[in-house]
Amino acid sequence: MKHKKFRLLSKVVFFYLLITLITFITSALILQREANKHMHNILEDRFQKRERYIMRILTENPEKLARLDHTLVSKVERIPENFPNYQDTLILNEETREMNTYRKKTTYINLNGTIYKVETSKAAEELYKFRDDIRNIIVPILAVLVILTVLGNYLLSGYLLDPFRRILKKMSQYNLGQPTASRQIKTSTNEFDQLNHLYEKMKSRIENDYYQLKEYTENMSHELQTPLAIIQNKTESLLSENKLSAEQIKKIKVVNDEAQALSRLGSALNLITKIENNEFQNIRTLHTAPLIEQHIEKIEEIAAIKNLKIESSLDKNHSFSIDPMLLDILIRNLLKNALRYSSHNSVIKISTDGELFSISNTGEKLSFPEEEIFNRFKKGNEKQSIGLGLSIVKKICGVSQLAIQYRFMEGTHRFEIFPKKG
Amino acid sequence: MKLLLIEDNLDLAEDLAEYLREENFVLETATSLEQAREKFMLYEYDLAILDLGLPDGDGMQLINEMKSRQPEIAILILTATHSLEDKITGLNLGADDFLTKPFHKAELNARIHSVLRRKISNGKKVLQVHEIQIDLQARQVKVCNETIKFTRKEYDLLIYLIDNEKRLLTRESIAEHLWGDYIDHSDNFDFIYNHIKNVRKKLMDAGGHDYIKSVYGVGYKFQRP
Repeated sequence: MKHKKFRLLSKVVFFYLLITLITFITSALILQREANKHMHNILEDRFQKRERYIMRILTENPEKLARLDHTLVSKVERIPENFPNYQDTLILNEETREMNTYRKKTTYINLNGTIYKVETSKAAEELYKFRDDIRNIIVPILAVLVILTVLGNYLLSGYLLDPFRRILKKMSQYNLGQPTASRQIKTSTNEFDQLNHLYEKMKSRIENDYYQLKEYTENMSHELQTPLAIIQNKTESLLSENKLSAEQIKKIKVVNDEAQALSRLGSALNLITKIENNEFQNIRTLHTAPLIEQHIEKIEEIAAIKNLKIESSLDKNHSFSIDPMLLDILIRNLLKNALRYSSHNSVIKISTDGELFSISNTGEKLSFPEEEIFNRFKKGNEKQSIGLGLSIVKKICGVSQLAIQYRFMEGTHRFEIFPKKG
Repeated sequence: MKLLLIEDNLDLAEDLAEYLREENFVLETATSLEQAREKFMLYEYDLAILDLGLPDGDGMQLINEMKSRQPEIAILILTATHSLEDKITGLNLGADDFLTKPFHKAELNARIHSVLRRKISNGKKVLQVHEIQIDLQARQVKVCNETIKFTRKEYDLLIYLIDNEKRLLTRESIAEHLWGDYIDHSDNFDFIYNHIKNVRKKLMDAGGHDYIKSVYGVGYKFQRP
């Protein structure tokens, strides 16, 4: 299962906001409780003052009771179980015509054996307002904080993560063996600096290994050429001598053949190295039709010997953007491959159409997995080719921004080459 | 014919020199630009075989110098690189032919003969080998004064054989000469046999000798029986 990916800063902001929210809610709850307690204490203080006053009136001159605002005193038989109890009520203010919140306390007073029920109401409006104010302050602050954080994330991520993105870009553009202008990435962020540093170190280590290996192969294939040429030449001279027996000639011929095979292998490997080193840089737009026709002309006779027919349908406007030498090798190798592996009495088809170049021949199924066809030294059964032709083709496509596809369907091998998109 | 071989690898130079001297060429060798300059300042040559990769510089610059000193000199370039550019530059500078390493010595020999024939024929472009007479311009073969029709490949094969008279030519070298590198070295070479058979038959039918000797499993040799 594939997990959804988030940007680092988005994640940081998400968790930051989550923690902020929890902090805000907790502190809001605490503040609310404290505010309630505070409110209750203030009101209770006022209620108690009023109760003491009522007690004084009841003992000194009870007729004064009626003049007391928001107070109702009545005699009752007995004291109920839970008292005092509090109740919030709305009372119309005559003056402002607004409903105001009052808190009503019901309590009982036992005065010399007489029980009085005392209901007192006190204005709680301002106190409630005070409590609401706390909420009214906290919520907008939270909202502003969220907006600022998200906005900050958006604006800062560009600035903060820019070095990181540049490092990523550098990594993705890196191509082993291809010299790239190594831009120095400066950052004041410790972690990114470290990352960049480690990346550079790793890169130079890999490059070092790679170049050493390459130098080795280059030297090998190059230094082998001269001794091989001498072996070939000497055996050729021996073959020309008249004194040798048929048996001796045969043996010398084997030495000569093997030296030739090694020499061809060496020059094929050399060619691959040259392609990899980008030594073919003469890239231009080339029409393929004339060159393909030239090559077809060259192989017609060999094809006829093998009873092969070559059918071509060439688009005059078809072109590739490629070094001429590489295009020549590309077409040659594909044709050679088709010639080599075609079944007898079959047809090799070459066509260019739009952007597509394709070549197909009938033949036996590969004796190895299809995706290995471009690997070095992969070759069909019983054929003594060196097995580098198609890997050279693949290399050429690689450096020329061309894509190559191989398919085997209904007894037909088919190669398609077309420009890479983008 | 006097040849100058400019090749920095001593072993290879010696080996080629030995071969070419057997072909009755007078041959001198140089292993660097400097040595080559010395040689062509002092002596005249008919042809220079020039390896492009020299220790003290690019052989390409030598082409102009040699041509200005000896305008008649023929130049054959040897190179180890698969470079079309090199080839075009070399030929534009006035080189006459171009050979990519590795090559068969027989091929080099044939190219030398061909370049020299083109250069110094003094109007008579006819190659006479015993009773065989070849008009190189008309690509026409006469045996005992009788004109015989040869196909293009048969003609090329005959010239290749004659240029390497008395030498054994491997089937690979013949195939490469006629069909370039399209020839697979793993192929069987029956088709060469067919061409050889045709050439031999045409020569003999016209009253010529049986010049082509086959060496079983290896190749063919052109020599007077």
